[in-house]
Amino acid sequence: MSDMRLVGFIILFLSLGSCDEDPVIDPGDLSDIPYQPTAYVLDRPSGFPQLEIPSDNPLTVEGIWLGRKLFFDPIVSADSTMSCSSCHLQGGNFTDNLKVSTGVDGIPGRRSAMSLLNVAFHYSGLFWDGRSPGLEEQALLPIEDPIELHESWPNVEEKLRRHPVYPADFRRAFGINHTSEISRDLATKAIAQFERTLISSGQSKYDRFMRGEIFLDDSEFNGMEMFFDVNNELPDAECNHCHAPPLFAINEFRNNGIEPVSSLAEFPDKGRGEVSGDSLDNGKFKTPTLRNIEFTAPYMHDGRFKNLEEVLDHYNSGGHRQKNTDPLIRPLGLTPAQKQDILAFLRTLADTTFLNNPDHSNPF
Amino acid sequence: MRLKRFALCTSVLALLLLSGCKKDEEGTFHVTFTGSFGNEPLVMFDVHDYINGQRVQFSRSEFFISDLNLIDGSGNTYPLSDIELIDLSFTNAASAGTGVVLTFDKVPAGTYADLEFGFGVASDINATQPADYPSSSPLSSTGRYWTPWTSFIFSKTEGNLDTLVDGTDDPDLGFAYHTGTDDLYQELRINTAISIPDGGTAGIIFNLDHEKLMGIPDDPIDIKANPQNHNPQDLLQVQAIINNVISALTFILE
Repeated sequence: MSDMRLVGFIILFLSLGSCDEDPVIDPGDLSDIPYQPTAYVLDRPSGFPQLEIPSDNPLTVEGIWLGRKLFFDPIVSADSTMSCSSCHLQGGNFTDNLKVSTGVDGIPGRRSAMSLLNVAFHYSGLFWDGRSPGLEEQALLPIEDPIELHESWPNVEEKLRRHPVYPADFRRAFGINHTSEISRDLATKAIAQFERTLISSGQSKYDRFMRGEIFLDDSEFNGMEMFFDVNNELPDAECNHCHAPPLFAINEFRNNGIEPVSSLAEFPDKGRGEVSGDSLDNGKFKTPTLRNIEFTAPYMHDGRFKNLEEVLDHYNSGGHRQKNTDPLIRPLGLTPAQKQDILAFLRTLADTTFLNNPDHSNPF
Repeated sequence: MRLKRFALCTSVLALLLLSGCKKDEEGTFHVTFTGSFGNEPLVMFDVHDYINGQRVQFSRSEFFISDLNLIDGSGNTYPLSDIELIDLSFTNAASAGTGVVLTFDKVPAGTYADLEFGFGVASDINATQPADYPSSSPLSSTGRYWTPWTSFIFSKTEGNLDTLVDGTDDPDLGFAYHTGTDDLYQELRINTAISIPDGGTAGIIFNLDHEKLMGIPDDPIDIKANPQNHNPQDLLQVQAIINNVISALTFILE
């Protein structure tokens, strides 16, 4: 009988305990937040390349918004002082206008920040040497680079998981159910989505001229004829080979003769050769876009030329010949006036609509 | 009932046998392109004797071919490919010896009388632009399109020349001959019997001799005097290269 009483008390105790217990609330649960991603369709100017987007990272309004925030947020750096945008400023055509970029520890890098304009079309790899195959992969690297943001991805992931707002942003962008699902993979996907929107407006003077909306002045037109070599009475400036429209870049790597080296082994920065392991690629770098070129000084992978005049002086000189120097690097014979005409044409590639696009600005 | 079942089985068996008899007879056909400079395989940056004691090295040799077709004795065309990029810019002898091999499976077996293709980009494709193609296509490259011509660049022959004749092979002059425009598209037809056996393989190997492509020995291109040209009013070297393709291209059957 006493045993029965004991069992009865235990049951009663458990029942009462059960009634008093608070419901279990998982603070990381995001499933109550709506996940209704909105597909985003990118506009690209007429004649631009086809946009190829990874099937596992389609563009959405919510993904782009999250990527834009992450791009501008110093949360991704070790001391919360720098973000992607520290080296890629909108007003500088998404460069930092420095000879070489400097990271959170004040250590200068060895290369200049590349413009992100039309980076969605860089199908031969990112960075000056093309070492990263795509935007998602590229976005992984600066975070942990000791001379850039010098942070670790586990730390960034933890900071994002504890953040008061980001978990909901990740939920809305990618449909995760729990903060623990926030990952570097999703963060870089979001950043890549935002970067894919950094496309020319199609409103530069050159674009409008090509559509027959406006005229170029004489100097600009002369410059264009030399750029494209369409007038036998003017020198061929040989620009179009590496800076072909519509991007005014080609997805290729070239040695443009800037290094006075006596052998392929002597290039101080081997560029593409570091990636391929082929000495014939030493000293080759990706041909950058000339769109908005007047806003991206200084120039070359190491920022050695302060302005476009110095760049043209280099090409006019014929540069330095090595066996892998592009064959079209040769003395051009441009007069000072002709160089000014080419500069005038280059300025027709200015796209201030892009530079001032509020959709590309700091959201904070 | 048994009889019906027997008749049904017999019919199915007969159908299977008949369909087996109708199986297409097909084989594999290889079209290979190699490059040479005279009798030497074309290896990029290898140094070759040129004219006037100069020394030449090639850094790039590539070209498009279009409308690659087999033609049978009755004039019927079997299309193999609309467009191919043949890039002979190999930097080692082994790869240069292998060349670019195009493989076409399931080609109807039989004997063909001709093989034809165009050197360059045929006018229908040449009316398109790089933006019309995905990045996986060689036609998507703006580096292979020349805006002032509104044409793809049909071929690129690039390299260096040592003009100094100073006993070293240090190049002092780059050269680049790019061809393009519909006017310079050249159709080639090779009249030779090509037999593709059922279930077997046949092939043809083309070699582009760059010594002849540069007009040696009869009318060599003077690289030093004119190391590049692509201005529409000044296409002397470009025209010469196109003219030389026929004599520079030889073939053997595999």
